[in-house]
Amino acid sequence: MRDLSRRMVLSFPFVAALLGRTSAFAQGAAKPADTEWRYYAGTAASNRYAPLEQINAKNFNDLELAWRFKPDMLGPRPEYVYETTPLLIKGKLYTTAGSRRAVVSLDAASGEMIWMHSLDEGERGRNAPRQYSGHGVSYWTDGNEARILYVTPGYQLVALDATTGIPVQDFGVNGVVDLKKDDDQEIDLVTGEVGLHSTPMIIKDVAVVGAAHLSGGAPRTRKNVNGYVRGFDVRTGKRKWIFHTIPRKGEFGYDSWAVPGQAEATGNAGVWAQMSADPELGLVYLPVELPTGDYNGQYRAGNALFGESIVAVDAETGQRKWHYQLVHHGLWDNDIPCASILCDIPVNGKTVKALAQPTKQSFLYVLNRETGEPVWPIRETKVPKGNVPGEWYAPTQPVPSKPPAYDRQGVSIDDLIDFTPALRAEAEKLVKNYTIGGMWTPPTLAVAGGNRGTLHAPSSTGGTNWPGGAYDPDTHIVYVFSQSIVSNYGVIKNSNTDVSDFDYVSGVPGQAVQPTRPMGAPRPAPAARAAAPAAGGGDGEGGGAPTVQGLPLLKPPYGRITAIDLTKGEHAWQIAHGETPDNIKNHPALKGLKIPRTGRPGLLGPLCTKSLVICGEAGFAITPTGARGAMLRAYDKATGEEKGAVYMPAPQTGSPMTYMLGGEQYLVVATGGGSTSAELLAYRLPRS
Amino acid sequence: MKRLFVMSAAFAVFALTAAAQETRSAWSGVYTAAQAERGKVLFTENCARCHGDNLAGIEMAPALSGSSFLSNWNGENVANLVDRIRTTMPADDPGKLSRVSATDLTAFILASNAMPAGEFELARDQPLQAAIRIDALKPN
Repeated sequence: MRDLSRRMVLSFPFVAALLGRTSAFAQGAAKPADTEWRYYAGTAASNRYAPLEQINAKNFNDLELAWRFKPDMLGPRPEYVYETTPLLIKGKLYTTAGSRRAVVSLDAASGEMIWMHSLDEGERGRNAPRQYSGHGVSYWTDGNEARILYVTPGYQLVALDATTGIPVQDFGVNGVVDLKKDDDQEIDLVTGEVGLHSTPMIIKDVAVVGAAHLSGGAPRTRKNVNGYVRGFDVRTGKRKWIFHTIPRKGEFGYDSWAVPGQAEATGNAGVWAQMSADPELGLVYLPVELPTGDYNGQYRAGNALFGESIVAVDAETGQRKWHYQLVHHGLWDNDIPCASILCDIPVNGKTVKALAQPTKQSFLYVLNRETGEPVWPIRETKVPKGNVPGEWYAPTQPVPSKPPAYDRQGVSIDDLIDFTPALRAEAEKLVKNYTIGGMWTPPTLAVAGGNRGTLHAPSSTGGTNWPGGAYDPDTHIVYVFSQSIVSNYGVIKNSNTDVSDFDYVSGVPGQAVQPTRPMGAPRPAPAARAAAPAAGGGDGEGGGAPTVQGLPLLKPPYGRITAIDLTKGEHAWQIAHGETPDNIKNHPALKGLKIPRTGRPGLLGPLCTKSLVICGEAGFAITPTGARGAMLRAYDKATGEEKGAVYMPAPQTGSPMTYMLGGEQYLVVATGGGSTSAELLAYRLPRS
Repeated sequence: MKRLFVMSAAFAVFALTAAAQETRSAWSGVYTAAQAERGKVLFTENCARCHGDNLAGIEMAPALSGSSFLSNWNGENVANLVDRIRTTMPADDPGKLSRVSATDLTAFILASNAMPAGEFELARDQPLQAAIRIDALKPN
């Protein structure tokens, strides 16, 4: 044994010299083994964690592009919003790509395309409520056979042979399961308003598939398609179970609908976000969105389960094990936008199998994932009512006692821009036109010449959105990105039933209600069409949130990363993430002021490695070299101190992943935006 | 002779590039109010259902007004914005909008970001649009 180790020590410098390479692994003891990334967020626990340290604080700035993959020609046109995190299995990357959501297998060392699969769904695809390439693909193997599964824009579940990309003939019909069929409801195969851009959750031999719809400020109809969740046999494509996210008569939760008949007459309540799963417990964790009406709940009175609830279901049967409603009768479009982070944490000397749920509302809800019980008390707290006729208001909302919120909640005078007293004064004057208050202040009636609505933070896009967070299983710290921006929630009376069958909808007084309809569906008759919206102009009269001389209404940071220590339920650190936007940095009203980095708003997911938290920036800026683009930044995960930054030609749009291959660590991130089309960038350290 | 030709060609390229770099800001009145009105109608027909009736965007569709739009397009030229619209939008039927329509829509987007109208319409020609710079802030 001793001999062997000595031989290794002796022979190693020789090998390094022989190869003539000085790559980082040459400094270590042995060539590190290849690693894998089998799920969208690394594992079924959605930890987005890889214990790799070849890329570290000392060398992050040395990173260079290993390869780039440009999916422009994989669809009928280029794509600009590339949300994928690729999978890495046995040296090959698997991802969706391009505007038609093709699936590709790439050589993970060179980026070379090995195979490509694409399904042209024609009109059905063009009608999809969720277009483009989506979040990526899923992987299944029994150790012998290996499959790649994904959901098309037109809502079909496809299984491909991982080696060849050819549809698996004994799955569904020639490799395809039509998800608009066998869903306990009638759905028009071409125009039915349902799809999915998330990846199926694979647990053992079951593929769990959710549903996504259009956003619902002024829904066409309260009886939209239901977003049920189903489990499919991953070998045959046969449906094993269905979970009704709006309970049917006799099912658990039906009684939470206060007005008889409404549960039957309401749609949505999809699971559009990523899911997590615990194969040991045999549970899948479903983040359920609202029933129809994102800001208007007139037709879903009561707590109306399972709106905005985490539901744990048995992966084999779909039976509900427990649920926890994060928001009662939500009126803020909080959804639950991302996967629960599954974590085993020490609490009072015992290890608790927990889950931590990042949210748009910037609470991290921590629950026991076996029982659904809060790890720290979550107290029902009295909340205010609004003034929309016919609306039902929950008297209380559950408020976590720990950990503290990780971003701004609600809008008060103290939250307003305060770079100078003059800007604050202007902001104070602007918000007089609106209702402001704590985070549970509901949307309000917008009236011509009067109240313009409720200014609300976090906005309808968070806080944290679909990318979710990361978790370090060694230190029990969650890392989450969030943004501080404002939405305006104004409600108006709807008089045009051709546009929506809701009595009250989101809108701007004096402007006709904008129709929500599936893309490609027949356009409403001219009489039903809305008048054009007014140009915004910045004061919010057009319905958007107001700005102050083009500056954000709230004070910075506009984007931040928070480290949350789950051994204590406290923040470990918090930093502004993203360089100050150019239009703020160079704003004439701020001339001569020294403004610390403000961070930038966006929808971002961090990656955690052995020593770093890595996250790209949202939005373009002129980078330190003068090049237009964005930076991929690395922070010391213990302190939040920035350790390095490398240039990307466009902002991060999909969360980064990492892997070790052939002794080299790669970092892969999806980018795009503005006039720069989608691209996958792979970084590694220089070889010499 | 051949070398001379190569040199003059290089000079011509340089001259063209230099001309193309003589840009003006989109804040200098590069479209007309009537053109933005036409763009507004097109916006309602084709864009509002995803980008929002207030151009504020949703998860899938970015904001077309305000700080994040201005940051994203700061330093870009108008031709790239017109081409992005013309070749990829609306998402369910890209290519449907003519260059003239995409140009009118762009005029509406500039108006929605408080950039003032001017005396002359935004021309549909790519090289002319490429000479107009989108600045996040009004230049002094």
